[in-house]
Amino acid sequence: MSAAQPILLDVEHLRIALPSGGDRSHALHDLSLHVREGECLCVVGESGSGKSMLAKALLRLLPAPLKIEHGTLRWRGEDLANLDEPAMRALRGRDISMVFQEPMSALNPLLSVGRQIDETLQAHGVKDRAQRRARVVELLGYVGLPDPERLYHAYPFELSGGQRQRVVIAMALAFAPKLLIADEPTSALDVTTQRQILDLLRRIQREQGMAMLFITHDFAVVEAIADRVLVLQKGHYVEAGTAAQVLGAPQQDYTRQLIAAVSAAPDHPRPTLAPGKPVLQAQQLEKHFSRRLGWWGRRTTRALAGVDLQLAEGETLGIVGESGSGKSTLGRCLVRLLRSDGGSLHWHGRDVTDLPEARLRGQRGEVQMIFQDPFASLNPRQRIGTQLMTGPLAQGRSPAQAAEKAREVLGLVGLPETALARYPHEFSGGQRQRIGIARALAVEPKVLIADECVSALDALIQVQILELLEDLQRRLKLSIVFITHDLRVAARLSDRIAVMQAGQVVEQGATAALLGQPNHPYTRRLLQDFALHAPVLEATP
Amino acid sequence: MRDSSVWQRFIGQPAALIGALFLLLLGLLAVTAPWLCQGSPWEMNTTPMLAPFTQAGHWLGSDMLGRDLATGLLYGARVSLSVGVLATLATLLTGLLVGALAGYFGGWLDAVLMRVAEFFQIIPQLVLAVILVAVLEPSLGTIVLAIALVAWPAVARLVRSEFLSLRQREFVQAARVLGQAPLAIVFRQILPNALAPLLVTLSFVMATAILTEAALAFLGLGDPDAMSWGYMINASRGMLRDAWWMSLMPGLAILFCVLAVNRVGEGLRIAFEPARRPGDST
Repeated sequence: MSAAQPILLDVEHLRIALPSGGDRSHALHDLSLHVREGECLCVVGESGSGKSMLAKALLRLLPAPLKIEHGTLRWRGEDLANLDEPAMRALRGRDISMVFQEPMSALNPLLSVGRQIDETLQAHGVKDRAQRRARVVELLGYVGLPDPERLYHAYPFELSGGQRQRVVIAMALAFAPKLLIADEPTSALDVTTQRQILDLLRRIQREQGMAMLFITHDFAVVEAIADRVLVLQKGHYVEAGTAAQVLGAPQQDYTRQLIAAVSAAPDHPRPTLAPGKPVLQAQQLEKHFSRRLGWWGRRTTRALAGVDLQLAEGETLGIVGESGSGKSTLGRCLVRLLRSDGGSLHWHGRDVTDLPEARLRGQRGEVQMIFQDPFASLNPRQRIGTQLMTGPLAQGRSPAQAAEKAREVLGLVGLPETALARYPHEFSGGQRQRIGIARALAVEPKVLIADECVSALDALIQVQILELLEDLQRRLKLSIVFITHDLRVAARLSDRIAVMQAGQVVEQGATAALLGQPNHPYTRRLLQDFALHAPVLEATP
Repeated sequence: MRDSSVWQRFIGQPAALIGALFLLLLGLLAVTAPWLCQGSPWEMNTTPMLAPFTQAGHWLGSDMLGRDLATGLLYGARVSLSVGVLATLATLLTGLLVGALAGYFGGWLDAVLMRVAEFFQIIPQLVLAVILVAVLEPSLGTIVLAIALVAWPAVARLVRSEFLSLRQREFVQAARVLGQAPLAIVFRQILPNALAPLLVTLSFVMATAILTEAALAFLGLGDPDAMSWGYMINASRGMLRDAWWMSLMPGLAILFCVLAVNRVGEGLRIAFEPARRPGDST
């Protein structure tokens, strides 16, 4: 990775205009960068920073109305603008290839994975069938997939997310490219899988001497893989340098904020709680989902297999687990969106396990939920005011009281009163999530269940929402169940953490104790995967 | 804000706008027909088989009994449009009720209602309508009933599928968690979001209803007291060689009316389409 390596890709003063009428005039402003042979350059930025546009511009895959307004792209000294379409096509996939964020949509669901890689080879002129087949099997083995001979005939839906991403990487490696452009290749994956894919990419890069342009929003990923880092904000260059420089001694405020956002350190250390009375109690909670198979068969999955939980007044309980561990089902059972198949559930000491929906409705004000997707959780056809008044009206307040409450909660989450008359599409993701929180608060709940409520947001916005939740908790004496896949977020917010695996709570305890001395092997594995982030955590004051 | 942009996208399409204006004009003419024309459409008040544009006062000519064709066409529009509108309304009510019940509550109710819908869907629609009208005696009411009875399953299925997917959306679940009652959830949260595809389907239901009414009248199963386009074609089909215009005029009337309804439906579909996208997460 020395500076003596020849420059592979050189971008000078790249500027891409956006169609007029948008909130920004340019996707990229005068961006210059270069990638040397064998090095990994990480381009970091939040959504809307123009980082994906950069990748598309390099491969000449910009969506229709956008084009390069200014600037030159050089590949080994040759101006890419001079290449005609066939020459560009030969370059794509052969010398420069790409790995996308969502492995499922990058693969054709109707072709076996072997055939898809085979087609890439064929498209670039490998005629001999046996030679192609041998290469495909070699590639599948190389990216760490078990039993490549059998996987050759597997279809994408038969593979896990991580395995699919490995197939996409194998396809990208078909011709041992000089440069691999990876656009958020790990952000759709679990932490454990994320780590394996990063290790794989790092290994391939070392062995093949391949250069990588790695696009991400996550500084933890940067830490794991980057040689050099370039930070973008809204299409503008912020700063660049070696990974050690940028991570260890960031020069710009924006970079410092981004790095601090991945830190687990809360702004206010959580006070130790006096043991309060329990506001939410679940005992041996069970939930099954069954699906019919053929004529007589039935497959039953146990989403919850006997979960015991307790939430004390003013406490935050973090529920951590990978996707499929049953944590979302648990959240839905706790607010009684789903009725459990066994066990019992108490709200404020009252048994609500089998209370009919009609009788439960009057008590729904006590336990509220904050949803994951800020875009799907608001009704697109109702004004914000109407949506905030829904709860109070359903709980029997007068329209005047409800309107008053709507104004009050909007103030609580830090939005101006003018928002009341507007529709959801006029707000950003972070603002929508604030509205979602306000809607839940409008019925004056004592318990909030937050299901992955920050995972769809940018790192800086995540921090703001977490701070808002902490602040609201202090002011309103809320108890929170915080469901997340992200151990860092859970560690920051929770008094206690429960770790879930396959529908069971495998370990639960006070945050510091659980993170310091994990007992269960699964907890240890989760912690190990997050250890990848540890240097970042130590680097921040 | 979004509503106004749907409206702008609609009037931005020439075909849809012309279709809408044509229907409006036709509706206006149909309503004012008794004042525009002298006498009833059945009245034999001129020379039989008068060619168009040959006699002032009977611009479109007359049929073999000397009945004025222009008057017949205007009164025919009354029948076609009222059958179209009433049958669409009846279809909407039935389809909405069945689809909403099946989609929102699911379970055995869903299974039973959908089997009933399938029963109506596997019978050829026109044959069922013909039998119903023949058995019940032709009148405006029975024709509307017959058309609605064969058209509702399509609407019910659409409403059901919209309800099934919207019920899972987070904002509907949020309303449940807030304690909103099921009926309020259906009318405040789900229906407004299902309105776009529903309106589009209804416009096509209306086009089919107008065609079915014309077909029934052509087969002699129209309301015997009402002059309709289908009846006019039926009455004059024997004279196609001698007096082609007697069949052509009502035929063109049916063509343009159905075409206009279709264009409006297509225009609505295009106008709603982009609006549905920003609502989905990307």
